[in-house]
Amino acid sequence: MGRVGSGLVVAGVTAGGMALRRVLRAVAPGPAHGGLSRERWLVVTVALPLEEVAPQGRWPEPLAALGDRVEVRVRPAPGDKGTELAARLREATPGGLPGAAARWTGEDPQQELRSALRRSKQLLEVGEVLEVEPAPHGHRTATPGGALLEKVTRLAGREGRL
Amino acid sequence: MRALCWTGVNETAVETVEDPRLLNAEDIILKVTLTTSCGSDLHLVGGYIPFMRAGDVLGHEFLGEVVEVGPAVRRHKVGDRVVVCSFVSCGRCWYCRQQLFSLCDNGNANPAITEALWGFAPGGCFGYSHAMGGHAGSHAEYVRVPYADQGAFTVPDGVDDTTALFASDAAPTGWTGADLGGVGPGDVVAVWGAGGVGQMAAAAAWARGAERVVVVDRLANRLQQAEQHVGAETLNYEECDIGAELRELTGGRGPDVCIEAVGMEAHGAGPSYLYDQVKQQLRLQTDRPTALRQAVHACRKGGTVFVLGVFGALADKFPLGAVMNKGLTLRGAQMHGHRYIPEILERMAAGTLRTAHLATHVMPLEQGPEGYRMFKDKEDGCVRAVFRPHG
Ligand SMILES: NC(=O)c1ccc[n+]([C@@H]2O[C@H](COP(=O)([O-])OP(=O)(O)OC[C@H]3O[C@@H](n4cnc5c(N)ncnc54)[C@H](O)[C@@H]3O)[C@@H](O)[C@H]2O)c1
Ligand SMILES: [Zn+2]
Ligand SMILES: [Zn+2]
Repeated sequence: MGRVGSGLVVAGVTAGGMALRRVLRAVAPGPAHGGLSRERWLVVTVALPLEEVAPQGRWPEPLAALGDRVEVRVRPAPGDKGTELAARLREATPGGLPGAAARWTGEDPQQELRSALRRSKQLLEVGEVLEVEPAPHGHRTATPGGALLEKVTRLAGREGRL
Repeated sequence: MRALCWTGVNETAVETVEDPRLLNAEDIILKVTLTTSCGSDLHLVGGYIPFMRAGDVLGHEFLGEVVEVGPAVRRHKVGDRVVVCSFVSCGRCWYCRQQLFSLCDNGNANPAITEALWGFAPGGCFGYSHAMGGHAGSHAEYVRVPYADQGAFTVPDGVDDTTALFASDAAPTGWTGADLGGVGPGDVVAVWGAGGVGQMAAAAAWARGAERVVVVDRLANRLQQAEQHVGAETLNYEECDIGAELRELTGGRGPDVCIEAVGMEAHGAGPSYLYDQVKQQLRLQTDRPTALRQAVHACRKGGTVFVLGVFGALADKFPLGAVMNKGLTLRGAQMHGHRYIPEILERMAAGTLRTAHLATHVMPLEQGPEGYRMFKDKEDGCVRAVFRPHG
């Protein structure tokens, strides 16, 4: 298999390809977020007691930054697992093609919320958000597979099952 | 700096890349003294885990000297000689508090990929693709280590570099298998695979009090190492009927704990191996579970099978009936190294754990591509190709 394009072929056919397709399918046009008339609660569990997750009812900064666009609630997680931090958008995000386009370009409000929840959890648990870029790397041959993976990687902090 | 990069399926090259820098307050920058190939890299290099981009720096098992520390680092200072756990873990999330460090919630900045693949995202690993967090690998002159107070461990004086290197990944992986596989006094333990990981699983089984330890492979030099350096009995699966040998050895019961340290590219004999290879090449299955099937069959009733070998997604003809009807416990994990590295370093210092023999081929980083080829083909008795980035 030659160097150019091999990334794409492999990505298209293996387990990873499956996952890639699933990530992509998740951003494809369809009923908005499971066809609900309102948005689902997105929830992360933070390994801290409730008082530390929302001291005096204050939400962590990334969630607070979303202001009135989100509803937020917290409750203790069972089994000493910490605090469940849940949030949902007050307004349903567009479904169909416009919704898919927004997700693909990373402008979907639901993605913004997902990212805010993940960052809130990390800020609370470790005090900062883990960065990986810029990471040292060698020459990036321009292949369609590489471009696709770069795109998926860029969305990967904002997408997912959360 | 110079770094060994993945450039395409079964291709690597040494290239000049940017130096790493501190990105988070808890980071250190390490000047890499030794960094080694691991069986896991073969799955990556061969394209079985296709979340690599051309140019990604490989390597996750390494040791070096601290040259820069972030403002929030407490346990390390410039000049320290440290070995680093291959997994990146925060030490504070619920999983880390349960000592399930490779499941850390805060070590992988790209969770969507493995969430789509497996339902939830495990933690991040150095040099192990964008699915495992996109952390640059250690086959380079310098590497950035996040959460350094958690993942970097000072090497005791008196433990040489080559020995300590394997406290990074191979040894704690073996410890993960024996410990979470529940090995205890009186157990007969069988280990499939006599690579670095299998040998360390056998050593860990002794450390947990096993009565007998048997290692299965077909490569004579590796079996010989398992006998000489780990004190295990060995079986060559090309020369005997493994199931029958193990029954004979265990009074007809079967091993109490079976540890699979082979992974998704297992070699095998007979028509089922051909079937697996064809299916894998047609991508109808992603993993070849030859050794795992044998382990499940050989295991005693009510015993434990531990999957240390890396699997990516789907395996075919998995003997689920045997798992259910024999009442087996089936467990797997990426290594929870942070949990075992202190004990491993103590054993190295006390001279009760030998690892340096795994470094069969030590070479400058510039020879990395050749090292990987030898390691992949197990040429010239290569067990681990180890690189010296600074000559
Ligand atoms: N769980 C973890 O955190 C972790 C960490 C490191 C490595 N690993 C995995 O552990 C596995 C072994 O790693 P390694 O570095 O020792 O690899 P390696 O390639 O050096 O060794 C694998 C060994 O398995 C033998 N083998 C192949 N087919 C076999 C079969 N059917 N029966 C018995 N033996 C067979 C090979 O001859 C070889 O000696 C790999 O899958 C690797 O990805 C897992
Ligand atoms: Zn490894
Ligand atoms: Zn953690």
